[in-house]
Amino acid sequence: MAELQERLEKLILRLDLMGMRVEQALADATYAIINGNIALGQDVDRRDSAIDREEVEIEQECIRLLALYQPAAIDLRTICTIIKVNSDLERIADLAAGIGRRVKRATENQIDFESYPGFGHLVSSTADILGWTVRTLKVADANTARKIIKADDDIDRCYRKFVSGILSHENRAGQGVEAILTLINLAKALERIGDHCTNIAEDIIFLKTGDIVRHPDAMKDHSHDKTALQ
Amino acid sequence: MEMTILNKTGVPKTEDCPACDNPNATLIDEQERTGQETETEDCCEPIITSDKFYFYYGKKTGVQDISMSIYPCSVTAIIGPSGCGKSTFLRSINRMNDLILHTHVKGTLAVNGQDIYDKRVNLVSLRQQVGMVFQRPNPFPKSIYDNIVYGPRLQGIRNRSELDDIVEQCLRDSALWDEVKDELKKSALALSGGQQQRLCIARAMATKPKVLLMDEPCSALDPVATGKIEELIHKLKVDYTIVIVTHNMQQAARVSNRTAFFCMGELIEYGLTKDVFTNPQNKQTEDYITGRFG
Repeated sequence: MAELQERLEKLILRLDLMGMRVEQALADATYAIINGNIALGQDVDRRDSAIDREEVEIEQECIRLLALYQPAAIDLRTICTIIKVNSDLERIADLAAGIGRRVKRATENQIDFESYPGFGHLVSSTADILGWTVRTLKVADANTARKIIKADDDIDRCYRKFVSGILSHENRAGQGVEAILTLINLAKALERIGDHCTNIAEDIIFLKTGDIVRHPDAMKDHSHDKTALQ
Repeated sequence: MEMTILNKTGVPKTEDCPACDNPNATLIDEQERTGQETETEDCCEPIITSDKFYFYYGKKTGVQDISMSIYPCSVTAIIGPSGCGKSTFLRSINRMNDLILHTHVKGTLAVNGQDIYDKRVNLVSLRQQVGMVFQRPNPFPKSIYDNIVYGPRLQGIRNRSELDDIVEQCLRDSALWDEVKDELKKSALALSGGQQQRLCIARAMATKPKVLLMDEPCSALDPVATGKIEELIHKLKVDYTIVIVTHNMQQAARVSNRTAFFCMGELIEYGLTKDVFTNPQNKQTEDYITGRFG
């Protein structure tokens, strides 16, 4: 079983590295969009295929470990967590690549991001939560993971405030419909990244405690239903 | 309202218990929906109860301070490293250890509420109620038929058709009937290892026990025969209480409802198998089942 632990340690390192690449991709994509750096945006998009390949390879290794070692307890939870986090990181990279691809359109539409302070706030909050998530993943700290889940609520609030603000006529700062749609799509991508960070935080809690904390209300309702029927 | 049902184990159960003859429809739906069996223990009285049980080989302690309840119509797996006392505890349940000189016990070990180490306990009756299947198949050098009727004959059953019925029922229950129905007079020793082990299970069932103890029943079998025994265990738990000692942790995870982890003669952790194998509460258990020690 020492071999399993060795292979798991290697996988955890690969996942950490992937987290750092994804964090860099988001940082580059948001820098590119705000500063109109089309080349950097295209570069983020190009680098996404390397992350896709890494995701597939990590998943393949997880499946091999499940088949060959039939892991249990912490080893089983580690592999399940890697599979899920791997998928969330890859989705975040896709969203960052999507932001990179929109740089050209945002530049063509002459979107002035400085006119939308809410967008800048959303960008920095999302970058913060992603960095925090990647670091928490490394140390697998369930308490910090719980804080990340709460922090995503702030990103959701920022997103709603930004979208409702931009939809009101006086805040459009003379932008056309296409520019407004681009801004909303960019904001939505950032909000989705926050959601993926929440998923990862939930997986960290599962890794450390064995508890699945997703959908607590639905699970509570379900156990209540069962008790009532019994 | 609770409805008392007596099943083969003779243990009163409520209609809500998934192990009972008449499970509540909600629980069935739940099982179908989730693919998981629902484990309950509040509605069943334990069939085996160990309370601060100690077993000594002379001055050496075999097991110490074992307190646990084993529930009817379920499979309880006992796992642990070699020499941890799991077989000692298993063999204590039908007093097989009495055959070893200079042994003694402390505490209580009860089957169906009766302390089996009480001096008034009839050992033959106890072993009729608590059957045992060993590591290596050990059929008698007799025919398949005679192996199964051996116990019932000792119990005084002589009627041929009654014995025939017992043979057919036990072989059907042990999933061996279709393979041997045309050659019941053939020597049991001519069967394959897996078939011999299923015959031993059939032989153990012939005296209608409430509990079946299995001491590494698959360790001498190939994967196909092991698969058949595991399938059989899954079928038998509807009617029998099975306690299995195994070194194969995947097997414990597959076949059991509850798992007990023993180490150095002590019970370290006991809980639902689904919890023990995904999120053990004790570090020693986790280290053992993940192969970090043992």
